[in-house]
Amino acid sequence: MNKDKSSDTERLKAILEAYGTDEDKWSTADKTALEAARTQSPSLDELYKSEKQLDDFLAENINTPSAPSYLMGAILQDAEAVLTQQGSNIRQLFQSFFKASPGLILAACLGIYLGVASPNLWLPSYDVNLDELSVSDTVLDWEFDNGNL
Amino acid sequence: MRHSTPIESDAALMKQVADGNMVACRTLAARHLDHAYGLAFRVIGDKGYAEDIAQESFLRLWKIAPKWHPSAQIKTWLFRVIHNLCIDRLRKENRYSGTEIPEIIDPAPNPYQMREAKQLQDAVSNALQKLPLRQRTAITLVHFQQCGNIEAADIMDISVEALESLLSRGRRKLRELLDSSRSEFDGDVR
Repeated sequence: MNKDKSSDTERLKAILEAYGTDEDKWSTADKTALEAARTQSPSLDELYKSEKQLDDFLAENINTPSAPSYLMGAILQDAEAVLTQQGSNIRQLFQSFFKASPGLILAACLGIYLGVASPNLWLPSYDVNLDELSVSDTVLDWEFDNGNL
Repeated sequence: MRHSTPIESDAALMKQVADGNMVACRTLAARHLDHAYGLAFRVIGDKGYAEDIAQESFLRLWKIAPKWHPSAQIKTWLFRVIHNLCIDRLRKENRYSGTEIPEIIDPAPNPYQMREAKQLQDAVSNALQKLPLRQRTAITLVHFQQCGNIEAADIMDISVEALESLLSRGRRKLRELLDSSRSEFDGDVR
Protein backbone atom coordinates (compact mmCIF):
# COMPACT_ATOMS: atom_id res chain seq x y z
CA MET A 1 0.00 0.00 0.00
CA ASN A 2 2.77 2.35 0.99
CA LYS A 3 4.68 1.43 -2.12
CA ASP A 4 1.63 2.20 -4.28
CA LYS A 5 1.20 5.55 -2.63
CA SER A 6 4.85 6.30 -3.08
CA SER A 7 4.85 5.40 -6.76
CA ASP A 8 1.69 7.47 -7.21
CA THR A 9 3.38 10.46 -5.61
CA GLU A 10 6.43 9.98 -7.82
CA ARG A 11 4.21 9.90 -10.89
CA LEU A 12 2.45 13.11 -9.81
CA LYS A 13 5.82 14.73 -9.21
CA ALA A 14 6.95 13.71 -12.68
CA ILE A 15 3.80 15.18 -14.22
CA LEU A 16 4.23 18.38 -12.21
CA GLU A 17 7.82 18.75 -13.30
CA ALA A 18 6.96 18.18 -16.95
CA TYR A 19 3.67 20.01 -17.40
CA GLY A 20 3.62 22.42 -14.47
CA THR A 21 0.43 23.37 -12.68
CA ASP A 22 -1.71 24.38 -15.65
CA GLU A 23 -4.90 22.45 -14.99
CA ASP A 24 -5.72 22.22 -18.69
CA LYS A 25 -2.76 19.92 -19.12
CA TRP A 26 -3.89 17.57 -16.37
CA SER A 27 -6.47 14.83 -16.66
CA THR A 28 -9.41 15.01 -14.24
CA ALA A 29 -8.25 11.84 -12.48
CA ASP A 30 -4.71 13.17 -12.00
CA LYS A 31 -6.03 16.52 -10.77
CA THR A 32 -8.12 14.79 -8.12
CA ALA A 33 -5.20 12.57 -7.17
CA LEU A 34 -2.91 15.57 -6.90
CA GLU A 35 -5.29 17.46 -4.63
CA ALA A 36 -5.52 14.47 -2.30
CA ALA A 37 -1.80 13.71 -2.39
CA ARG A 38 -0.76 17.29 -1.65
CA THR A 39 -2.38 17.17 1.77
CA GLN A 40 -0.47 14.01 2.66
CA SER A 41 2.89 14.71 1.07
CA PRO A 42 4.67 17.92 2.13
CA SER A 43 7.35 17.42 -0.54
CA LEU A 44 4.70 17.19 -3.26
CA ASP A 45 2.96 20.27 -1.90
CA GLU A 46 6.25 22.15 -1.88
CA LEU A 47 6.97 21.08 -5.45
CA TYR A 48 3.49 22.19 -6.49
CA LYS A 49 4.00 25.66 -4.98
CA SER A 50 7.39 25.96 -6.61
CA GLU A 51 6.08 24.95 -10.05
CA LYS A 52 3.11 27.27 -9.63
CA GLN A 53 5.46 30.13 -8.91
CA LEU A 54 7.39 29.43 -12.10
CA ASP A 55 4.20 29.11 -14.15
CA ASP A 56 2.81 32.38 -12.76
CA PHE A 57 6.08 34.15 -13.42
CA LEU A 58 6.23 32.90 -16.99
CA ALA A 59 2.57 33.72 -17.63
CA GLU A 60 3.13 37.26 -16.40
CA ASN A 61 6.34 37.91 -18.20
CA ILE A 62 6.37 35.93 -21.39
CA ASN A 63 5.71 38.07 -24.40
CA THR A 64 3.53 36.71 -27.16
CA PRO A 65 5.20 37.59 -30.42
CA SER A 66 2.80 38.56 -33.15
CA ALA A 67 3.72 38.48 -36.79
CA PRO A 68 4.34 41.85 -38.46
CA SER A 69 1.66 42.93 -40.92
CA TYR A 70 4.04 42.96 -43.87
CA LEU A 71 4.64 39.25 -43.32
CA MET A 72 0.95 38.61 -43.88
CA GLY A 73 1.21 40.62 -47.11
CA ALA A 74 4.24 38.62 -48.27
CA ILE A 75 2.55 35.32 -47.48
CA LEU A 76 -0.58 36.27 -49.42
CA GLN A 77 1.57 37.43 -52.32
CA ASP A 78 3.27 34.02 -52.33
CA ALA A 79 -0.15 32.36 -52.28
CA GLU A 80 -1.29 34.36 -55.27
CA ALA A 81 1.88 33.53 -57.19
CA VAL A 82 1.66 29.81 -56.40
CA LEU A 83 -2.04 29.54 -57.17
CA THR A 84 -1.67 31.53 -60.39
CA GLN A 85 1.19 29.26 -61.41
CA GLN A 86 -0.84 26.15 -60.60
CA GLY A 87 -3.79 27.56 -62.57
CA SER A 88 -1.57 28.39 -65.53
CA ASN A 89 -0.16 24.85 -65.50
CA ILE A 90 -3.66 23.47 -65.95
CA ARG A 91 -4.37 26.08 -68.61
CA GLN A 92 -1.16 25.16 -70.42
CA LEU A 93 -2.21 21.52 -70.42
CA PHE A 94 -5.58 22.42 -72.00
CA GLN A 95 -3.94 24.84 -74.43
CA SER A 96 -1.47 22.26 -75.66
CA PHE A 97 -4.33 19.81 -76.11
CA PHE A 98 -6.39 22.33 -78.06
CA LYS A 99 -3.38 23.27 -80.22
CA ALA A 100 -2.99 19.66 -81.25
CA SER A 101 -6.71 19.00 -81.60
CA PRO A 102 -7.19 20.12 -85.29
CA GLY A 103 -4.54 17.64 -86.39
CA LEU A 104 -6.06 14.92 -84.24
CA ILE A 105 -9.55 15.60 -85.60
CA LEU A 106 -8.27 15.58 -89.22
CA ALA A 107 -6.46 12.30 -88.63
CA ALA A 108 -9.60 10.79 -87.11
CA CYS A 109 -11.76 11.92 -90.07
CA LEU A 110 -9.25 10.52 -92.56
CA GLY A 111 -9.20 7.23 -90.69
CA ILE A 112 -12.99 6.97 -90.76
CA TYR A 113 -13.11 7.83 -94.47
CA LEU A 114 -10.46 5.25 -95.33
CA GLY A 115 -12.26 2.66 -93.25
CA VAL A 116 -15.54 3.25 -95.07
CA ALA A 117 -14.13 3.62 -98.58
CA SER A 118 -11.28 1.12 -98.50
CA PRO A 119 -13.14 -1.89 -100.15
CA ASN A 120 -13.93 0.30 -103.13
CA LEU A 121 -10.39 1.61 -103.19
CA TRP A 122 -8.68 -1.74 -103.32
CA LEU A 123 -11.20 -4.08 -105.01
CA PRO A 124 -12.56 -3.71 -108.57
CA SER A 125 -16.22 -2.77 -108.66
CA TYR A 126 -17.27 -5.12 -111.53
CA ASP A 127 -19.58 -8.02 -110.71
CA VAL A 128 -17.88 -11.26 -110.02
CA ASN A 129 -19.23 -14.27 -112.03
CA LEU A 130 -19.79 -17.11 -109.74
CA ASP A 131 -19.44 -20.62 -111.07
CA GLU A 132 -22.02 -23.25 -110.42
CA LEU A 133 -19.95 -24.94 -107.81
CA SER A 134 -20.05 -21.91 -105.65
CA VAL A 135 -23.84 -21.61 -105.83
CA SER A 136 -24.70 -25.31 -105.58
CA ASP A 137 -25.81 -26.56 -102.24
CA THR A 138 -23.48 -29.53 -102.09
CA VAL A 139 -20.96 -31.32 -104.23
CA LEU A 140 -23.49 -34.15 -104.58
CA ASP A 141 -26.05 -31.77 -106.12
CA TRP A 142 -23.44 -30.56 -108.55
CA GLU A 143 -22.50 -34.08 -109.57
CA PHE A 144 -26.19 -34.92 -109.95
CA ASP A 145 -26.76 -31.90 -112.16
CA ASN A 146 -23.90 -33.01 -114.38
CA GLY A 147 -25.42 -36.44 -114.77
CA ASN A 148 -22.71 -38.23 -112.96
CA LEU A 149 -25.03 -39.64 -110.42
CA MET B 1 -26.45 21.15 -36.33
CA ARG B 2 -23.06 19.50 -36.15
CA HIS B 3 -20.04 21.77 -35.86
CA SER B 4 -17.14 20.80 -38.07
CA THR B 5 -13.96 19.68 -36.36
CA PRO B 6 -10.73 21.64 -36.90
CA ILE B 7 -9.54 18.88 -39.23
CA GLU B 8 -12.71 19.07 -41.34
CA SER B 9 -12.54 22.85 -41.37
CA ASP B 10 -8.86 22.71 -42.40
CA ALA B 11 -9.62 20.22 -45.17
CA ALA B 12 -12.44 22.39 -46.50
CA LEU B 13 -10.21 25.47 -46.49
CA MET B 14 -7.36 23.66 -48.17
CA LYS B 15 -9.70 22.47 -50.90
CA GLN B 16 -10.70 26.08 -51.50
CA VAL B 17 -7.04 27.09 -51.55
CA ALA B 18 -6.35 24.38 -54.13
CA ASP B 19 -9.20 25.83 -56.20
CA GLY B 20 -7.42 29.18 -56.14
CA ASN B 21 -9.62 30.91 -53.57
CA MET B 22 -7.61 33.81 -52.12
CA VAL B 23 -10.18 34.43 -49.36
CA ALA B 24 -9.43 30.93 -48.04
CA CYS B 25 -5.71 31.74 -48.14
CA ARG B 26 -6.30 34.89 -46.13
CA THR B 27 -8.46 33.02 -43.60
CA LEU B 28 -5.82 30.36 -43.14
CA ALA B 29 -2.99 32.84 -42.82
CA ALA B 30 -4.94 34.93 -40.31
CA ARG B 31 -5.73 31.82 -38.28
CA HIS B 32 -2.21 30.37 -38.13
CA LEU B 33 0.35 33.06 -38.87
CA ASP B 34 0.83 34.36 -35.32
CA HIS B 35 1.27 30.83 -33.96
CA ALA B 36 3.66 29.92 -36.75
CA TYR B 37 5.72 33.07 -36.34
CA GLY B 38 5.63 32.75 -32.53
CA LEU B 39 7.00 29.23 -32.63
CA ALA B 40 9.72 30.13 -35.13
CA PHE B 41 10.71 33.21 -33.13
CA ARG B 42 10.90 31.39 -29.81
CA VAL B 43 12.88 28.51 -31.25
CA ILE B 44 15.25 30.47 -33.47
CA GLY B 45 15.43 33.64 -31.36
CA ASP B 46 15.75 36.01 -34.31
CA LYS B 47 12.93 38.08 -35.82
CA GLY B 48 14.33 38.10 -39.34
CA TYR B 49 14.89 34.36 -39.48
CA ALA B 50 11.53 33.74 -37.82
CA GLU B 51 9.83 35.77 -40.56
CA ASP B 52 11.70 33.85 -43.27
CA ILE B 53 10.79 30.52 -41.72
CA ALA B 54 7.12 31.43 -41.24
CA GLN B 55 6.92 32.65 -44.84
CA GLU B 56 8.62 29.52 -46.16
CA SER B 57 6.29 27.25 -44.18
CA PHE B 58 3.23 28.97 -45.65
CA LEU B 59 4.73 28.81 -49.14
CA ARG B 60 5.01 25.05 -48.71
CA LEU B 61 1.43 24.96 -47.45
CA TRP B 62 0.12 26.68 -50.60
CA LYS B 63 2.13 24.32 -52.79
CA ILE B 64 0.84 21.21 -51.08
CA ALA B 65 -2.82 22.37 -51.14
CA PRO B 66 -3.86 20.27 -54.18
CA LYS B 67 -2.45 17.15 -52.51
CA TRP B 68 -3.66 17.95 -48.99
CA HIS B 69 -4.60 14.88 -46.98
CA PRO B 70 -8.04 15.43 -45.39
CA SER B 71 -6.99 13.81 -42.11
CA ALA B 72 -4.14 16.24 -41.46
CA GLN B 73 -4.32 19.30 -39.23
CA ILE B 74 -2.81 22.49 -40.60
CA LYS B 75 -1.42 23.72 -37.27
CA THR B 76 0.40 20.45 -36.60
CA TRP B 77 1.66 20.30 -40.19
CA LEU B 78 2.91 23.89 -40.06
CA PHE B 79 4.58 23.39 -36.68
CA ARG B 80 6.39 20.29 -37.95
CA VAL B 81 7.66 22.18 -41.02
CA ILE B 82 8.74 25.11 -38.85
CA HIS B 83 10.50 22.81 -36.41
CA ASN B 84 12.46 21.21 -39.27
CA LEU B 85 13.24 24.57 -40.88
CA CYS B 86 14.53 25.88 -37.55
CA ILE B 87 16.81 22.86 -37.17
CA ASP B 88 18.07 23.36 -40.74
CA ARG B 89 18.76 27.03 -40.04
CA LEU B 90 20.55 26.32 -36.77
CA ARG B 91 22.61 23.59 -38.45
CA LYS B 92 23.71 26.06 -41.11
CA GLU B 93 24.88 28.35 -38.36
CA ASN B 94 26.44 25.50 -36.40
CA ARG B 95 24.13 26.34 -33.54
CA TYR B 96 22.43 22.96 -33.53
CA SER B 97 23.58 19.73 -32.02
CA GLY B 98 21.44 16.64 -31.68
CA THR B 99 22.92 16.09 -28.25
CA GLU B 100 22.41 18.32 -25.27
CA ILE B 101 24.49 21.44 -25.43
CA PRO B 102 26.05 23.02 -22.38
CA GLU B 103 24.58 26.17 -20.98
CA ILE B 104 25.81 29.31 -22.62
CA ILE B 105 27.12 31.91 -20.27
CA ASP B 106 25.25 35.04 -21.15
CA PRO B 107 27.33 38.19 -21.22
CA ALA B 108 24.12 40.27 -21.17
CA PRO B 109 23.16 42.13 -18.00
CA ASN B 110 21.57 40.18 -15.21
CA PRO B 111 17.88 39.89 -16.21
CA TYR B 112 16.58 40.69 -12.75
CA GLN B 113 18.37 43.98 -12.78
CA MET B 114 15.81 45.01 -15.35
CA ARG B 115 12.63 45.75 -13.54
CA GLU B 116 10.45 47.16 -16.23
CA ALA B 117 7.84 44.82 -17.66
CA LYS B 118 9.28 44.92 -21.15
CA GLN B 119 12.72 44.18 -19.84
CA LEU B 120 11.39 41.28 -17.83
CA GLN B 121 9.80 39.86 -20.93
CA ASP B 122 13.11 40.13 -22.70
CA ALA B 123 14.79 38.45 -19.76
CA VAL B 124 12.42 35.50 -19.94
CA SER B 125 12.90 35.30 -23.69
CA ASN B 126 16.67 35.36 -23.20
CA ALA B 127 16.47 32.61 -20.60
CA LEU B 128 14.39 30.58 -23.00
CA GLN B 129 16.97 31.09 -25.72
CA LYS B 130 19.66 29.70 -23.46
CA LEU B 131 17.92 26.34 -23.24
CA PRO B 132 19.07 23.58 -25.57
CA LEU B 133 17.01 23.57 -28.78
CA ARG B 134 14.97 20.46 -28.04
CA GLN B 135 14.06 21.58 -24.53
CA ARG B 136 13.20 25.03 -25.84
CA THR B 137 11.02 23.59 -28.58
CA ALA B 138 9.23 21.24 -26.18
CA ILE B 139 8.51 24.04 -23.70
CA THR B 140 7.41 26.40 -26.45
CA LEU B 141 5.02 23.89 -27.97
CA VAL B 142 3.45 22.69 -24.73
CA HIS B 143 3.49 25.81 -22.58
CA PHE B 144 3.27 28.67 -25.08
CA GLN B 145 1.60 27.21 -28.16
CA GLN B 146 -0.91 25.15 -26.17
CA CYS B 147 -0.15 21.89 -27.97
CA GLY B 148 -1.21 18.66 -26.31
CA ASN B 149 1.56 16.24 -25.36
CA ILE B 150 0.76 13.80 -28.17
CA GLU B 151 0.64 16.58 -30.76
CA ALA B 152 3.91 18.11 -29.52
CA ALA B 153 5.64 14.72 -29.52
CA ASP B 154 4.36 14.14 -33.05
CA ILE B 155 5.68 17.51 -34.23
CA MET B 156 9.09 16.80 -32.73
CA ASP B 157 9.00 13.21 -33.96
CA ILE B 158 9.71 11.80 -30.50
CA SER B 159 7.80 9.70 -27.96
CA VAL B 160 5.60 11.28 -25.28
CA GLU B 161 8.04 9.94 -22.65
CA ALA B 162 10.94 11.69 -24.38
CA LEU B 163 8.87 14.86 -24.56
CA GLU B 164 8.14 14.71 -20.83
CA SER B 165 11.81 14.25 -20.11
CA LEU B 166 12.66 17.29 -22.24
CA LEU B 167 9.94 19.31 -20.52
CA SER B 168 11.17 18.39 -17.03
CA ARG B 169 14.77 19.20 -17.81
CA GLY B 170 13.79 22.34 -19.66
CA ARG B 171 11.67 23.67 -16.83
CA ARG B 172 14.38 22.87 -14.32
CA LYS B 173 17.02 24.66 -16.35
CA LEU B 174 14.70 27.60 -17.00
CA ARG B 175 14.09 27.90 -13.30
CA GLU B 176 17.83 27.84 -12.61
CA LEU B 177 18.38 30.59 -15.16
CA LEU B 178 15.65 32.74 -13.70
CA ASP B 179 16.66 31.82 -10.18
CA SER B 180 20.25 32.96 -10.54
CA SER B 181 19.50 36.43 -9.29
CA ARG B 182 16.06 36.08 -7.77
CA SER B 183 17.01 38.08 -4.73
CA GLU B 184 16.99 41.16 -6.91
CA PHE B 185 13.57 40.52 -8.21
CA ASP B 186 10.22 41.08 -6.50
CA GLY B 187 8.22 37.89 -6.20
CA ASP B 188 11.01 35.39 -6.18
CA VAL B 189 11.05 32.49 -8.51
CA ARG B 190 12.26 29.63 -6.48
